[in-house]
Amino acid sequence: MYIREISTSKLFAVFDRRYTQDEFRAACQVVPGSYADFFVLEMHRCLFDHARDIRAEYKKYYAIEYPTISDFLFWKYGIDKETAQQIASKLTKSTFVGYSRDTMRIFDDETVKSVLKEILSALGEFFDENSD
Amino acid sequence: MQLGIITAIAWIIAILWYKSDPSYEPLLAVLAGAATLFASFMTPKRLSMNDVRKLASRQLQNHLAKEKNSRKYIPSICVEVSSVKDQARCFAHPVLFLQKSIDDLQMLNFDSVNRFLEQLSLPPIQLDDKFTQGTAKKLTELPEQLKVKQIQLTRVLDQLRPLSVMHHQNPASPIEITASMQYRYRDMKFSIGMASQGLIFDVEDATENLNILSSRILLIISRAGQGKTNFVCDFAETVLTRRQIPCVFFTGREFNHVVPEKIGEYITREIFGDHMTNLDEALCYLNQLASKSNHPFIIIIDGINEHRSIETFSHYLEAFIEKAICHENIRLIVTCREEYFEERFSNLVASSFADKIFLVKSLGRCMSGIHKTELVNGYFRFFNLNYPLLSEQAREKLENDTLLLRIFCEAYGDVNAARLIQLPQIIDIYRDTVFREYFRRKLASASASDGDVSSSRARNRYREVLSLIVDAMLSGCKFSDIPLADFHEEYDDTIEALVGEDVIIRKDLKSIDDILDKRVEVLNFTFDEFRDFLLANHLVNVVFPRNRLEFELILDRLINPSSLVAEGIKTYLFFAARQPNGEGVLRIIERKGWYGDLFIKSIFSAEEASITEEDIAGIRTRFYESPRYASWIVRMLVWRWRTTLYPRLNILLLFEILDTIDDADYEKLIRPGFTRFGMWGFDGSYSWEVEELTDDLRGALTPDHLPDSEEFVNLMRFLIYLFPILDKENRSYPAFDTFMIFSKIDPDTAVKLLGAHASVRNVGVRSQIWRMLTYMRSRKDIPNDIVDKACNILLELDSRDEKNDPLGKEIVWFLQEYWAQNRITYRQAVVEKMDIYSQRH
Repeated sequence: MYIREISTSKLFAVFDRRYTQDEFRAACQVVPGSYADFFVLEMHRCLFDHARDIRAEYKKYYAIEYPTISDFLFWKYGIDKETAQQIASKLTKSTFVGYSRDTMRIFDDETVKSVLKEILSALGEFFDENSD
Repeated sequence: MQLGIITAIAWIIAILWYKSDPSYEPLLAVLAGAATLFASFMTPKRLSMNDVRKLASRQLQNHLAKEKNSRKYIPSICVEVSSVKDQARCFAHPVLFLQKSIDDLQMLNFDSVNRFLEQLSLPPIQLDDKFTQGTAKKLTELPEQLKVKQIQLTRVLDQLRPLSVMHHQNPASPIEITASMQYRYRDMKFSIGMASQGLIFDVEDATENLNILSSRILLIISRAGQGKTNFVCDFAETVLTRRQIPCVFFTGREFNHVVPEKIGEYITREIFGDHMTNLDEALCYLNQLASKSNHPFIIIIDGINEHRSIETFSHYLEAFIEKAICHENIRLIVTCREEYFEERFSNLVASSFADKIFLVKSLGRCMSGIHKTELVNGYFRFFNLNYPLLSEQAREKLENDTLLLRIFCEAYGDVNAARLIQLPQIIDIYRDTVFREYFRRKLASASASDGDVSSSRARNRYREVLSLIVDAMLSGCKFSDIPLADFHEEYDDTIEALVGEDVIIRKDLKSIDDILDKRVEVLNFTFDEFRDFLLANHLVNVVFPRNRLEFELILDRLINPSSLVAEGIKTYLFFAARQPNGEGVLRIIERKGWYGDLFIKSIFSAEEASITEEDIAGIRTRFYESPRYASWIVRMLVWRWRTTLYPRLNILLLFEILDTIDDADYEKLIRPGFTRFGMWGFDGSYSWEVEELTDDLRGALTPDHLPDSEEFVNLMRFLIYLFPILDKENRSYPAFDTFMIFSKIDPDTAVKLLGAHASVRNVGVRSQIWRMLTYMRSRKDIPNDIVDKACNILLELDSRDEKNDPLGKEIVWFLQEYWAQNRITYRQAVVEKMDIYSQRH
């Protein structure tokens, strides 16, 4: 997992794959309908449901201009060249690269970030320390 | 072709008729048929769409090659301006990018806002289902679809804006809430405002995208050297060509050789050669090609300001654009230098097609930080420049002023160098020095191209001509359009050579009110800032030695509020006056009312080696003159925290000032510079919020990353003086918190710094220092001398003065905590004083 705020409240995130809401819920074992459950779903919605799928965007709109996705990430999203190349080199068929707006700025909160880390760690994600 | 076959058949029938009846009428039919058949073969062949595409593509490729050869387009240093490039994509490929706008809008997250609205019993906000349906597949379907979608987005914006927290977006009556829901709304007002604000930005962006999709002219204006030509050439090469969007490319300069009335004919001939001469017919072809390829046909006209006769040209350009956009699938991208736009092309924004223009202002401002860095690196690579160090300040100056970057690289680099040119450490960019070197180089290259390399005669002639031009400007108080006829014809060759260099002066055509001669040739400097540099140097080196009184008269005339050159001349006069022969000028300008601002604004851009004791004394004195000066001085001196790089003028001067500043001056001069909207800097920026500094520093404050440099401690020392300053939300003390992080990593240095500043004059700072020491006492053995200092300060405090209470209480708290840990015995007088402050609330 790699998450970075690239402009005010705009998140750029890379995950091994696109996770479902149920997987998120199961990973953190929250009580359905509880406030914690609501919060976990909020995180999921932000990171997946309302995120722009950057790989799909690249293929559909920009591949004709940029020979590689790392070029695209550098020029379009301002991801530094080294990171962009690292991301590109680790892409598998299932990797999800997303871009979304953290409307409520929930990821400013350290607790939220650590909960997300826990959830993803339970789902087998490796956390990239270079994340914000 | 079909007509030819029919004619041939008719002709054969006429022959057969004549054979069967060799009379007068059949003979006439045979002759008429022969004539028609001959005429049908002589008529030019109608062009196929494929032919038109090839012709347009050839025109584009030829022009791009020309721009590359003349180094106006350098792909290797071309840096994308992501946001503007996306706008241009929308403009050039509206069918595809309408779909992309819709994809983006489908991702909008209305959940948070709608949850709040539900709690207030208000209807949810969402995009109409129809919005995402029936996306235009054809160019012809676009206008209708865009109209509908614009209405839908406006509706969503109208619903969102009343929820915003941003004051200017709130209507008088923010949102209609029933009386029973008012209490809930009060609680959630900030949260709902937060949730809606991001959405408002996104929907506004989408609305702007729809405007671009429907516009017909993309007008890009920005200052010289911001990369307009690079941008449009790169766009044509990497976007339009790759996406097979038909396009042709023209420049304002190439129309110099065309009678303005005939620019339409010229464009036709440039694309179609001998195949066509009629503009209307040509535009019909281009429109048809666009329709067939389902992309607009793009006509790029780069640098319209580069036409010599701008006034006439702008009129005919307007007429051409008007004609071109009558064809629904033709679009234009036009670029212009900002300095000329308002004055000479304002007719375009008041034309019949004004509502079809989408204006992009200033490319440079839209460039992201990471891409600006790429730009500087690209320029240095292209000009074969290498450096051991490029300081942050220097890099920032080059990144934010591409014209300066170009001039710097031209002054020191060489695109044809066989090996890298090694520069010394680049601590700062001194414009005056860069311009001097640039001027020297350009004069050398102009004289080289004049074939007179060996002697300095050519250079002297150029200097003489430039001196005459500058003199003419100063005596006439007119800084543009100097008539060429004012110069003796013996200078014609030299002027031509300088104009040919295209970097110092250029020749324009200017219309005048004269019944016999409507247009005259005039001279202008290519870059205004360079002109101001030459004007100032001329004043110091020529006018002043000639006549001091005249110098002062000219100066007063030039430096007035309405003068266009006042700012530039003042700045370069300051630097020119600091040269060895400028002493007399310096004494005169020091007496002027505007010198204070000029000195404070410019002294930090002077070369370090030129800084004198007098300058330092001047800074110290003027610090107390106004909060704006103080704020600027603080900011500039903090940037000079590396005392080895800035051995004369550096942060140590700031410490000297801050050590002695009293409470009243601290509130008047220091605090406003670190609070939001407090002070305007001389660079046009707002004051420096304390968080901006601390956020930057926090990145370095980890055990692994703490810079191993004694100079870095200067920044930590500076934080101490900012301890009492709150963040913008009045919730925390960023400098205090940041120092706390530092104190955990390097407690020895932290205690040493705090101890050394425990006696600063400002009570607020002193109080916070003791609070910090109290926090630190559990992690670090506090030296006895600091405890003694605490006791002595406490004894000296006048307990009758309430202003001392905060300090007294902090020291008492420190001593109590220290006692709790070390069980030492304080003197009776100290204990009594501790009792006094302990009882106060």
